[in-house]
Amino acid sequence: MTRRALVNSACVVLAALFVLPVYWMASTALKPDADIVSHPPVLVPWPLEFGHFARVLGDGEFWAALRASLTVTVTVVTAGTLVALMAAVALARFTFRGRTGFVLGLIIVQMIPGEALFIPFYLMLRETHLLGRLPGLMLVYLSITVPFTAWMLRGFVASIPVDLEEAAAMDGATRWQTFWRVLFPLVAPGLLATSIFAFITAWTEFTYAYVLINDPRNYPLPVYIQSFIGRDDVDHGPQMAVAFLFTLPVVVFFLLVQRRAVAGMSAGAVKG
Amino acid sequence: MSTTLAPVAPPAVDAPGTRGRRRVATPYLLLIPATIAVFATLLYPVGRMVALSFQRGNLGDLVTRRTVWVGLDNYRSVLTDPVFWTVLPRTVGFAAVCVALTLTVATGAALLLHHASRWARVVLSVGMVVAWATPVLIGAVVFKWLFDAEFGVVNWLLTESGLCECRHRSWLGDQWSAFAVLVSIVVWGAVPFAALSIYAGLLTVPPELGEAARVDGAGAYRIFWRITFPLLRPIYAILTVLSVIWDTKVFPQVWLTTKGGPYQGTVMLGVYIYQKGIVGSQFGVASTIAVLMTVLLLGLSWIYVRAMRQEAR
Repeated sequence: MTRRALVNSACVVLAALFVLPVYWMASTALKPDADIVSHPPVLVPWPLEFGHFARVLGDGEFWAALRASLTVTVTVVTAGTLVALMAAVALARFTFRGRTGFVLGLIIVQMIPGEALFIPFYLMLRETHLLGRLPGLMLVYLSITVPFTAWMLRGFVASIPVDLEEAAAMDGATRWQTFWRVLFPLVAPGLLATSIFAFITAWTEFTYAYVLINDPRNYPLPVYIQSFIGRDDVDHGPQMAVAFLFTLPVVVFFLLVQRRAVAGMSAGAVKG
Repeated sequence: MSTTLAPVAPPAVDAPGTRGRRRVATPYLLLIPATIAVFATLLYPVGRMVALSFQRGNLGDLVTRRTVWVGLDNYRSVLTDPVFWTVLPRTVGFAAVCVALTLTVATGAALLLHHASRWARVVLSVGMVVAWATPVLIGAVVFKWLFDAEFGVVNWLLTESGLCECRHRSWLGDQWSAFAVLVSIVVWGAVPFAALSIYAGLLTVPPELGEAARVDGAGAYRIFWRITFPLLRPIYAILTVLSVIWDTKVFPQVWLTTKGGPYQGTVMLGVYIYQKGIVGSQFGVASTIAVLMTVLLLGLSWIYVRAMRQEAR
C-alpha cells in the first residue's frame, strides 16, 4: 500500500469510530424490539421499523417536553440576542466611564463554572417560587449566554467602519435609521453566529435543567431523555428515537456552519 | 458552558471612530438589560455561594429562614474530609487523562486530514463534525447503551474480534472500566473540535519550511516537533486550557452513565456538590466545595486569559 492509501484508510477507520455511536443510536431507533435485544446484535436495521418513532410521536410527554424545550430556547435566543446587541453597541460605539470594567466583567463571569453554581440557583429559584418552572430556567440560561454573546457581538460591531454611520447621519438619517438601515444589515452575520451559539446552549444544556426542573410536567427534552434511564428496564428503542430527534437539528446546523466556525477559531488563535 | 460549539473569537478591536460627544446616558441605558442578566442572575448567586460557605445552611435553616454563621467550620470540615481528598485528585487526574488523550488523538487526526486525499478528508471531517455536534447528554446516553453488559455492541465487537471474552462484561460495574467508559465519552466528544482547530492551523504553516527541512534530511517526526508544533503552540495552549476547564465539569457524563458509582468510585467534584447539596440538603458544605472548585477553575481560566492576551498582541 502506498503512503497515501494508508493515510486514506486510517481516515476511514477513524471516521467510522466517530460515527459508530451515532449510527448505533439511529439503527437502534429503527429496529423492532426483538432485534434490539438479540445475540448477535443486528448490525443493519432491515426492514426499517418506524414503530419507536411512532410511539414517541404519539406520546403526550414527548410533545410537552418538546414544547418546553422550544419555549425556553426561542425565548433565550431572542431575548438574549437583543440584550447582547444592545450591550455590544454600547461597548463598541460609545466611550463612557466604566466601559473597560464592564468588558472585563463579561470575561470574568464566563469563567465561573456552572457546576459550582447550581446550589445558589436552586435556592434562589426555590425562594422565588420559580423552581421547577421554565421562566427560572430561562433566566439562568440568559445569564450564561449573554456575557459570551455580548462580548462576541462587540467584536462584530467594532469591525464595522463607523464612517458608514457618519455618512448616513450626514445625509440626514436619524439615529434609528442609521442603526436599522446601516449597522443592522452589516452586523446580521454576527447576530446569526451568536444566536446559533445561544440556540445550542439552551437546547442541549443538561445540568441546570436537571437540577432546577423537578416537575415532570415541565421537563425539557434533555431531562425527558434521562427520565428513560431511571425506569426499571430501559426502553432503548424509544429512548434512542428521542435522542435521534433531539440530535438531528444540531447535527444539520453543524454540518452547515462548521467550516466558518473552525475558520473563525483558527483566525483568532493563530493571528498575531 | 456547553462544550459543543467552538468559541468563535471575532477580532477584538475597538472602533477607531468611537466618539465621546454623544449623549452620555445612551450607553448606560443600552447596558441595563445586560447588567441585569449578568449581575442579578450570575454575580448574585456567586455572592450567595460564598456567603453560604460560611453558613450552616442545612434544610432546617432554610425552611425557617434562619442564618447561622459558622465561620470557617465548613472549610475545616471539607478540607479534613477524606472523601473530598479522593474526589479532588480524581477529578484532576480524570481531566489530565482526558486532555492528554484528546490532544494526542486530535493531533493524529489533524495530520491525517492534512495528508489524505480529498475524498478521505471529507469522510473524516464529516464523521468528526457529526460526533462534535452530538450533544454531551446524548453522547453519554448512547455510550451507556453501547457498553451495555448484555446487549451492548461493544461487548459483541470485542468478543467477535477475539480481543477479549467480554460477552457479559459490565463496564460500569467496576471503577476502572467505568472510568475508561467516561474517558472515552469525553475524548470522543472533544477530539473533533481540537482536531479541526489543529488542522486549520496546519494549513497556515508554509509548506516551504517542511520541504526545506526534508531536504536537510529531517524526518517527519522531527519536522513536526521542530517546525510545526512551535508554530501551532498558541493553538495548543488554548486547546489545553479549554479542555482542562471542560473536562473538570463532567456532571452530565457521570450522572447519566454511572451516577457516581460503583460505590461512589466515579464521583467527581460536580457530582459531589450535587450529592451534598441537592440530595443531602447540606447547602453550606456543598457551597464550600463549590467555592473551592470555582477557585480552581478561575486559576486555570486565568492562564487561558493570559494566553489569549498574548495572542491578541
